[in-house]
Amino acid sequence: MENLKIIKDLFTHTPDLIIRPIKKRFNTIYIVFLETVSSGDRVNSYILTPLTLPSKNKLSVKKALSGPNLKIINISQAEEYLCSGFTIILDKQNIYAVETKAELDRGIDDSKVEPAIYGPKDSLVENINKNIGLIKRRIKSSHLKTKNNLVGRYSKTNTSVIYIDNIAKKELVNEIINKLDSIDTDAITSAGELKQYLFNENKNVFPPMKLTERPDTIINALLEGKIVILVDNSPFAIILPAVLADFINPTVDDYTSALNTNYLKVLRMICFILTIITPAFYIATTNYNQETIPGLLLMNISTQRFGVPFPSIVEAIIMLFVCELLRESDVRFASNYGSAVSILGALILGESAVASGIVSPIMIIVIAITFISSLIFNEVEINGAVRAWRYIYLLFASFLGLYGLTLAFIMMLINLCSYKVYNLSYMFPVSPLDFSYLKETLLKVKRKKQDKRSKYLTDNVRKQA
Amino acid sequence: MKNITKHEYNSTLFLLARPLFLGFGIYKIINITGSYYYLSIILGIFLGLILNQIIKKLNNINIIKIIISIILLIYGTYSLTNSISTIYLNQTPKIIILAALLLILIYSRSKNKENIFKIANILFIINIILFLITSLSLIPLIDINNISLTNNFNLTNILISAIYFSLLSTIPYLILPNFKENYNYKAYLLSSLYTLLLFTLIIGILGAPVASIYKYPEYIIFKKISILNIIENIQNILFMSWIFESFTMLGIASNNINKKILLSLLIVIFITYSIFITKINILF
Amino acid sequence: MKKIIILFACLLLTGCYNYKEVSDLAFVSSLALDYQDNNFNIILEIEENQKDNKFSSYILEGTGKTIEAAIQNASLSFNKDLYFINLNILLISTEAANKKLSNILDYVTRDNNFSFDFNIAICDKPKEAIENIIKQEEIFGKYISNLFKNTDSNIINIKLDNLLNNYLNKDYDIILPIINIKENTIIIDKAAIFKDNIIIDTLNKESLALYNILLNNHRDYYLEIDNNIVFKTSYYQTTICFKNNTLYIIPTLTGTFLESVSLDENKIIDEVNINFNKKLESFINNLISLQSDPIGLKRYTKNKKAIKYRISTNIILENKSLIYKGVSS
Repeated sequence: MENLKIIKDLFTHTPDLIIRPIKKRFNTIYIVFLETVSSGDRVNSYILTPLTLPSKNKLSVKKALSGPNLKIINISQAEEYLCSGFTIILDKQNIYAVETKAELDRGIDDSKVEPAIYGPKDSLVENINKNIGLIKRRIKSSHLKTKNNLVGRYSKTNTSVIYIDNIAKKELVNEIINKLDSIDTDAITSAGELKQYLFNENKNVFPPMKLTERPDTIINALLEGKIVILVDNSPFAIILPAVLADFINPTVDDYTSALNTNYLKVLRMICFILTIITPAFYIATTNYNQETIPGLLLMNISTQRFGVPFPSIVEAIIMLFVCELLRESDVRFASNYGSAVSILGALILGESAVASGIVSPIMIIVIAITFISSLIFNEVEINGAVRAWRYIYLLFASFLGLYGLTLAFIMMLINLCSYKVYNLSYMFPVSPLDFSYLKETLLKVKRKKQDKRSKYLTDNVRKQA
Repeated sequence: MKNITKHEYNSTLFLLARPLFLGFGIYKIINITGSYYYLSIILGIFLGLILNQIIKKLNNINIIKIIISIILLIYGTYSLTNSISTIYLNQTPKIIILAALLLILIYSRSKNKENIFKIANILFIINIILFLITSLSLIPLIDINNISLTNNFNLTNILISAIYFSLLSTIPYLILPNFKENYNYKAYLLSSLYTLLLFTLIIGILGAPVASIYKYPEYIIFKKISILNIIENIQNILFMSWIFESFTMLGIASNNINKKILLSLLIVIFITYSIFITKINILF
Repeated sequence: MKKIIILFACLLLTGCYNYKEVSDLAFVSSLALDYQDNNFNIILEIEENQKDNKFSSYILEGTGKTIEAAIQNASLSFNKDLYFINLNILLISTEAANKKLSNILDYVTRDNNFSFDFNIAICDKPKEAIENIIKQEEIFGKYISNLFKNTDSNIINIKLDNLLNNYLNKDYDIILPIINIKENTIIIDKAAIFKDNIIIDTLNKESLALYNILLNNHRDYYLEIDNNIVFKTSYYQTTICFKNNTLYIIPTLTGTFLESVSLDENKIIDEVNINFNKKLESFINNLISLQSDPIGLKRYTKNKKAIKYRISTNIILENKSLIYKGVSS
């Protein structure tokens, strides 16, 4: 039995490799499977029971197990099939594989990262087939194409590129499939990891693609002409290309009327600006261009700062650092202790720092506005980008006042406008101006008037009559 | 230059018609014409529309483009630095203000040539918002007595300032790429009318005699803004629109010049500025 | 990497020349200027900005050949930077107004360290006035600027841009309110009028009300006829035009009667009309005899001399009162 020997050699020190010899007429059939990834029940009912039935004793393996489950493979594929939960039957020189995967994933759960009040509650899970199912349940069309790829030398992670073939641009699809093909690495374990291979220019802090766990967000993106990549064992899908406006606009907006939503959308845009410039603006106006602040308010600030030993720039940097510290520890620490961290942080920031005269109360308000407005973005990477620019603005403002702030703003515009994600400008839909995508993201109009797709994303523009 | 959209080009046209008025332009026109400013500006707009047709032909000649770019770079940096040092940072040496500006310019030049048009598109939107704030809050403050014609009518003065206006508003168009194909008279007209409104606000609020003593009357009128007695003192924020416009002009001008030549030109500007104009050599 | 180097070069090359902590600023609330014996005497009222001392201020004094020298001298023994943007009022003595008004205006407008929004008044005893208010635990500058805002009183409100306009525009003469001290309280009921930038006379409260009417500064105005009839305006509009060598001044007053006894309103209206015409006429005659023109009538007459003028008042009654009849009828 050479085949059995090969398999045994391959899987030395693998205690979960089970080999069952079954006597059948004059020879012995070996049933091989990995206990950890296969389900014992299925092995029993699909293979052992039919093979050991007296009535089927005379039939060959192929006939005894006739059904769609049975595949004939060669020995080189055996390793892959065993690892993915198949059971292998060695019958003389023939090798058969029968699917007996164990269900190692959880059931479909609520969306944790992107909650929506009136939206659907389901979210992606670790099983790629279930995820594709969640998408296909929503788009019942043969135009929905799925292109599968195995990525990773060891992990052999299943990734699928999903797009609607008469909406998405062909060049973009090909480019991405080529990129996926060219990845040569040990293992891809999650969507976040794959993301870094898809975009070469890692120069910019702003993220070029969006991660989501909501199927409805995926559907919207697909219908816009975007492309979705699912990764096995990862409950997140990659949507690409993504521009700045996408991060300000969550899918939740689609479930409420335009009038109320636009208020929130404007609020979010203001928050994006606030979270970047508030500390810098405070520094610039209180230390350089005091005439910008109304007299009474300036008097108040002046009174509050009395006795604070640090310059306000140092004060701001200390407070920003403490807040980052608090956020990070809150995320990393086990959730049971999370509340303890928050209470400690609130105590330090709210009471003690002011009482001991380390920071002025107004600075706490400034930093609180900065952080509360940054909490609107649930994407971690956009928060990181915002943080980086916040410090750049702060530096400029602390050396050149409001003029520095203006320069930093121009610098950010230069940076963002020159940033291209798959031939799409990052400031799209503002620059280049495109109303059809603007209606989708930055402002909302009546559902009836959203009748076109953006010509920058697709050639198939008409959306509804 | 295929990637520039119509919107981007038009907003650049809008922004470029204004930066040369900063400081010198407004001061000069108000001083020459007084309360007859509007006659000269309307005349200037017509002259400017004609001039644009000439510029369409001159625009293809490369050497003119480069010379005008260099002149605009020198003048633009000079006027912007001057205004910032009077308005924002009056104790900071001008040379430092200039240094920061030049470094940002170099950063802008290191990017793609179309990039500045994309920036202009966004700056245009911001400028329109700032413009709405100013005009809505300042128009009620106009005193009709100030606009009424008091000083003597002098045709030559009006003609001279009309020529000033048309030149200042159209010269920056010489440095634009593909001007002939993309020129849109509406953008120029809108921009000039915006300038006319600004002049009206300046004269109407300050009065011609007061306006003529100020170096930056366009900044002084912002000081009078008081929205509901709550939002006050926003002059410094509103003045940013002038920085944006000047920067757009400088960015496009620097795009016309070879990177290495630009770098040496900026260094020359910096050195001459530090030696001859500010007369302090902190670097040497 | 290049970008980072550029960024740091950009910032580290630049200093923080303009850097000022807010707590190191001294907020000047009022500035008083006097000119005597070729010297400027200045008084600065500075708001306290230390904790728990919200409404108090103190005074700095200085003398010098120029305004800047005087301010420098005043701040010699002072550990904060003077901050003038919050200035509420600028007091000028008669002497300084007569001799050095152009210097003062130049000093205040040249620098971006001054705002546009402060009142200007004439006060000959600024120190007494400021100390009086400080004793009452109030800040003089704010107290006075609130007095100017009060529309019930018929005083004129001159800010820097008005004064500049009056000074630079040849069609106007300068007018400035005068701050007086009467029995430890401060009252503003007069104004000084200038001719060729020198004070020639003062206007009383009555004339100031007429001045406001002629310039359409909307303040409450009331007119007394006998003792029983009071006409109070809610709105007025004056049109002035110049035709055929005659200056037509047509004020239109809209308002109600207060404390009036008689019911025959039409009769009273005529009386009010005549009365108001007389008052306005005497006011304008007074101005013409002084050859001072704070209203800017020259704008209309275009410097023509020997002109006639005609005043015709319109009184419009507004049915805004709560009662039909007078209570005593």
